[in-house]
Parts: sequence; structure tokens; C-alpha cells
Amino acid sequence: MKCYKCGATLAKGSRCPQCGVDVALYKKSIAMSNAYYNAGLSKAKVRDLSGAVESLKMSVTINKNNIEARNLLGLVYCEMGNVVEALSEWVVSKNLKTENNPAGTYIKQIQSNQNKFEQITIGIKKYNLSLNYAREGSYDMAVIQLKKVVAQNPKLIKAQLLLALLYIKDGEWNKARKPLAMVLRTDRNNTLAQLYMREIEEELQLKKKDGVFSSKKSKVEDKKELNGNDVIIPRSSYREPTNGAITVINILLGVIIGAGLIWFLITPARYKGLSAEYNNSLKEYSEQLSERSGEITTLNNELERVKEQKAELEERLGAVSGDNGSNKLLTDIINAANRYLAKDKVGAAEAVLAIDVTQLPTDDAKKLHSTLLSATRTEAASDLYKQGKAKYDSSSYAEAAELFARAYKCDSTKAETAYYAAKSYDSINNTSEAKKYFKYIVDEFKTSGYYAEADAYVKSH
Amino acid sequence: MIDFEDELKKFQPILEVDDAEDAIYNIDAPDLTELIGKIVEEVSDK
Repeated sequence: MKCYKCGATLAKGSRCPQCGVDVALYKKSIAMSNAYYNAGLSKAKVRDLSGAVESLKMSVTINKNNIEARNLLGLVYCEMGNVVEALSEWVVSKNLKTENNPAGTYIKQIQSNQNKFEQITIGIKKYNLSLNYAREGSYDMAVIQLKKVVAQNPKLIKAQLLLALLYIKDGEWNKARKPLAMVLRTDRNNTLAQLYMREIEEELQLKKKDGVFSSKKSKVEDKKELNGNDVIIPRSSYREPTNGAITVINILLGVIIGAGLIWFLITPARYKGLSAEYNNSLKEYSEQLSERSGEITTLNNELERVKEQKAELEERLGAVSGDNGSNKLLTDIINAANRYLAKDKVGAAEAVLAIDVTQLPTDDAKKLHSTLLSATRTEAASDLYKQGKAKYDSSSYAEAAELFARAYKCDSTKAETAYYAAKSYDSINNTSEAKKYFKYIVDEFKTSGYYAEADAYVKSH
Repeated sequence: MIDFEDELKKFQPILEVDDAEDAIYNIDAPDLTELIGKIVEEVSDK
């Protein structure tokens, strides 16, 4: 025990050894508080919660620093459903002694289960609402609310007691018993519960006695005399079968009939429902498929159109840059001009002859073509003829044939060029080419000395 | 015989969470030992 003034540990004497203050009364009050605490604890152990509350409240009133008494009071309140009061006691306890205090644990346990705490607080609110209803005379509403409260919080003693009181008011003695029994289970010596229970027992006893007298009275009153207006209805001779086997058979028959009903009535409907569902799903998928097919067709058409456009564009591009494109032709004429400038008259002439003058895009290009051709063809033809003749004389007929053919292409006004070309092809047994060049002589050079030979060859081949 | 109205008066509302703060402050009132201490102090001062 510590001195209330200086906090020093007190000895056996009536004065504080440190500050000297008189502590005799203080010690007695502490002892009294402890005694009340012990009484409260004994009562709590035997579930006399109401008694425990009274003793413990006295204990903390005498000494508010009696932590054990305060914690136990909180526990008892909690058990009786008064959770907020319990928390209040524990909070004060924790403030008075912060370390090694079980009150902290109790508070945490309450806070950790938020759902339960929520349920309890709602129950308390409903109880308070019910109490208001009862005070205002709305007893039915109060009963309805209280039934909900006690269903959720059966240990809320006040709610059980109020419900029992309302039942008693309406004379529903048996209904009132249940909540009172619950109260006495939680709080064994609850004064109100014991009072109400005694009241119920007395009323039921009275009712029982009255019931006996009233039933005797009713038997006497039943036997009235018959008069001329009364109709006598004969008692029916039908009796329900009491044999157990018959009952079992009846039950089995009922089960069979029920199963038959299910099979013939419910199953087809269910099957129909499933079929309908299946059909709906099928219809949905078919619609999706049709939609996708439509999309595919559209995309295919689009693809075809794009391909056509591509081909058209390629054609136009080819017209510009292809083998017969205008860009290619201009490049060829430039090459021919370059060869002419490099004094390669044969190359220039052949290059110019390979160009289709009608395809040249500009007049300047056509003019250049004409200039180059006239400047080179005669000399090129002459050179090629000389080369071909040299090859012919040295019996190199294949080379001679090619040279004479090129010479004839440059200048097709020379009969001897065609003649030697034909002779060279004939020497290498290329009859078709030989005949071609002999035909040129037959068609173009009728007055030349080569005509007769050419004509004979053409007719014989 | 139970008088309903008299019995109903015995029932008081249960403390709700909103009222907890006031309840805690009321608990923290001076107890008997503090009062005794004050009385003893006054007497010894005199």
C-alpha cells in the first residue's frame, strides 16, 4: 500500500514514514474496498452477477484505484450485455494503470471483433428503442423489436426482462418463462427475474385451478334437453386405419405418385426449358457465324478490289519504268548517243535501231533518234559487211551469218548483204534463215544478179 | 400482482457508444479515499 500523498510504501503504523500524514482512515477505506471486491468476486463466481455488480461498484466508489475490482466490474457488465459500460470501466482502469493491466487485453479483444461489436451496439440501440415504444404504449412494436434483440444477444439481461414483462402484461405466461429462464441462466440471483418467475408460477397455479372448475362446469352445461327444432345428425361410422403397415403402404404410394408426377409433369417442362435454352444458344451462334461470314465476304471483295488497283498501278508504273517504259527509252537513246560520241558507230547504230521511235515520249528524243540513225547506219552497215565478208572468206560461216544479218538490219538496201547472209546460213544448214534472206532478194531485188539463185532456192526449200 | 407501469419505471436505457465519453468522465470522479484524504488534510491544517 502506498501513501496517498507522497506515494511512499506504508508500514504498519498510522502515519506515513516519509511525509508523516495520518493514514489510519485511508488504510481502513482501502481495506473496505478490498472487502467489497472479495464479496463481488465470490458472487461473480457463482453467477450472481447483479450482486457482484453492487459489491464491485461499492469497491470502486471507496477506492477508484482498485484496479482488480474495476476490471472485474467490466467483465460482469460485459457478461450482462452492457458492453459500453464494460469498456468504460476498462478504459478508466487502463488510464490508472497503464502497464501489466489485463484491461488493455479486454479492450483489444472487443475491438478486434468488429462484427460482433457492431451487432451488440445495434442490439443496445434496438433495446432503447423498444423501451421507448413500451413507455409510449406501443407494446406490440416493443415486443417485435425485443424479439430481434434477444435473438441476436441472448445475454442482454435487460432486454430479456423487458420482454418477459411485456408478455406478463398480456397474460402470456408461458411465453414469458423463456426469457426469464435465460436471465436466470446468466444471472442466477437476478431479483427481477426471480420476482417475475414467481408471479408467473402463481398465475399459472390459479389458472390451473380455474381450469379444473371451469371444465366441470362446462360438462354440466353441455347436457341440455332436446326440443322439436333440434336436428339429430347420426355419427359417422368411418374410422381411420390404425394399422402401422397400412400407414407405411400409404406413404410409399404417396412417394410413387409424387415421383410419377415429377416424371410426367416437371421433367418434360424442364427438358423443354433446357431445349429452349440450347436452341437459343444455337441461334445466337448461327447469327454470329452468319455475321462473320458476311464480314469475310466483304473483306474478300475488298481484297479483290485492292489487287485490281495494284495491278493497274503496276501497269502504269511499268509504262513509265518498264522495259518499254518512257524512262527506259530515254536511257537507251542516251546510251546510243554516248556510243556515237565514243566513235562506236556500229554500237550506236544498233542501239538506235533497237529503239521503237514511236514510243519515245518527247519530240526531242525522236529527233535525236533520227539524227543518230542517219549518222551511223550506213557506215555501220558497211563495217559489218566487211567483217562478215572476211569471216565468210575464211569459212567461219556462223560468225559471217551473224555479221551479215546485223549489216542487213542497219542497211537493208544492199542486195549483196542479204545474199551473203543467206549463203552463210545455208552453209551452216540453217535453212529457215537462209530461205528468209533469199526471199528478201526475191521480193526486193528482182533486178539483181542474185535473183535467179534466190528464186530457185526459195522454190526448192 | 405485478404493476406493469411501476415495473417499467425500473428499466433504464443501456449506455450506447456515443455516451461512453460522458460515462468515463463520470467514473473518474473523486472516490471515498480522496475525500478522506482531503478531510484529514483540512483537519491537520486547522
